[in-house]
Amino acid sequence: MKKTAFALVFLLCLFAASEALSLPRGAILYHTSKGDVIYGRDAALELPCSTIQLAHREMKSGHVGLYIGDELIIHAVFPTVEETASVNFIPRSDLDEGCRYLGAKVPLDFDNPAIWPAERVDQLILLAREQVGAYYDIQFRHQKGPYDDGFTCVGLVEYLYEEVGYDITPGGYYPGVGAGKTYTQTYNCETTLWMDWDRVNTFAEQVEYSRFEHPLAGTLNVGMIHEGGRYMFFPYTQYLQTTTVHVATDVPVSGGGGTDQGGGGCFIATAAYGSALHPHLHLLREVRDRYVGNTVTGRLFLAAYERYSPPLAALIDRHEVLKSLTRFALLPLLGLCFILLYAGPFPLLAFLAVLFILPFRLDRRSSLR
Amino acid sequence: MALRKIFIPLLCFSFLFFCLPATDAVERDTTREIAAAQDRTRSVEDRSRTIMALGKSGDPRASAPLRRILKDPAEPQRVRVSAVISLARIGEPRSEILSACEAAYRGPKAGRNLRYALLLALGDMKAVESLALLSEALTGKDDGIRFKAAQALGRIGEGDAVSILQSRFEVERDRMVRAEIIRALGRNESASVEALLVRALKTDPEPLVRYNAALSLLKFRSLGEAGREALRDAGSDPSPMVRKTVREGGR
Repeated sequence: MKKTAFALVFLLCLFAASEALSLPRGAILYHTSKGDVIYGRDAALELPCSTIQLAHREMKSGHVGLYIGDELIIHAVFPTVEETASVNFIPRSDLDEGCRYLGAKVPLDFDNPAIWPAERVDQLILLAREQVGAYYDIQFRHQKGPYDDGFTCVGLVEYLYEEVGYDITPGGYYPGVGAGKTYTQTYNCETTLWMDWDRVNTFAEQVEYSRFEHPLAGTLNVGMIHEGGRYMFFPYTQYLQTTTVHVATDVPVSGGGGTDQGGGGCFIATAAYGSALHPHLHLLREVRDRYVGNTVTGRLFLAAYERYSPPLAALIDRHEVLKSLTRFALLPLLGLCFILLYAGPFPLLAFLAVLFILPFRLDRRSSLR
Repeated sequence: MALRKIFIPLLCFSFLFFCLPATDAVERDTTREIAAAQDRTRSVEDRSRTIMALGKSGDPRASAPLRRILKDPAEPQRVRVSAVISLARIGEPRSEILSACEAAYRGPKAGRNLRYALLLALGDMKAVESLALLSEALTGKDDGIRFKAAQALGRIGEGDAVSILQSRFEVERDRMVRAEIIRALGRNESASVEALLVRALKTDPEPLVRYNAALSLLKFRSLGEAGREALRDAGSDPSPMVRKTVREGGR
């Protein structure tokens, strides 16, 4: 008995240790654009010549976000800077279209508490949280804010680190100073009649800075002007900097819905599972958004649920036994949700019909015998 | 001669053709943009972009449709967030925008980011009329909401905003929210704020709070003796960030 108890405790400790997440708060996350391309990674054309694409800023620039702990990130995503679950860093839709995770980086000496004491990291997170709700600047002209001017995703991260006294790109994005690696690309779209000709419009090999040249850059006012040249901040040029080092990612960074959709919450299930990020809740939310919320009766039910369930959820939250019982009670519901989502409404109806009819049939058979 | 007869009317016609559309171009553009903003068949990003453009135009005719979008819980969150940002930029009619913001905030389908954007918009609009809502948000259960409410109250800085922040600081337990209250207060220089910041710098157990108190005091245009002394003493603070800040600020 004792041995079993010890073994159980040991296993629990092992389980708890394996569950502990080590991605540090303040880590910078990177991912590529659709089709797993990202500006600056290779010599192939990754920014568009097409006027329409450029006007819509479809520039294969990839994306950056800041991890703030508790499986949450803050990132600039049109139209604003938002705080969201880390699974929304690469939403399912983007993942399906080929966006891929590049990795996470932190500044050099980030693990040295003398250089990065807890309050310095806290300050970084605090400043990031302050920017939530700030504008996302689609024009790429005010990439580092401040608030009224808006941010791009990469500008936000760089601005935040600079605010706590760490310059990710000490050489800047401009020529003339050493340290750090950045890339540039130029275009000769005119000679290709404004078509995206792979490896014809680009001169990306062996270049060092994020100078951006495009025949339409002036007309569309793309990038920032510095000493007559146009420069842009790109995630990959930041990702390459030697001022940051890689860290392992052990939090989910993809497969989410993309944003918090509001809609109240699955209060009871959240209380039972102890986290709004539990995968079972994802299942329930999917059903709510795809089926329940689309009908009048469903909306009425949700309104009543949102009104009356929070006190019950609070009660469950306070008692571990109630949590376990609720998790157990939710299992059949989760099963039905799973069938509904992955097989559709008709298989669900068929399953329910079988479930209700079968006992009567069995009962009838046994009585006939 | 015949050529001239044809040429002159042609020239006049061309002139009218080019000039007339230009006169009502702005009118039609706004109308078209408002229609596009409300068109649910368009993508979320498309609609958000259009709504942001309407906000930048500052055209008050966009206000009513944007308020409808904001109040509609069936609209996607990002579209509603765009509407909030744009409405704060348009600013008119003020009372109706503020009541739309409050209704959306209290609505059942307001996600966290929408609520954050709403609180920030109230702060940017210096909405003293919405102090009740902000005060309620500052005392709520969600620390993210309390954080944003503190930030918004700091931006308002008028009416009772400062005293609400001061009172909350005394009972707030979350270190991030406490630090944000300090930063919010630091935007509103006064003797009572200085006294609170001095106390926070001297006695607060959280390095993050002391660090922000030091940063705020250093930004004050004029500082009393107590403030100067607190900054001097902070040179021996246990936190390296506080020490570094006052050392560099002293220079």
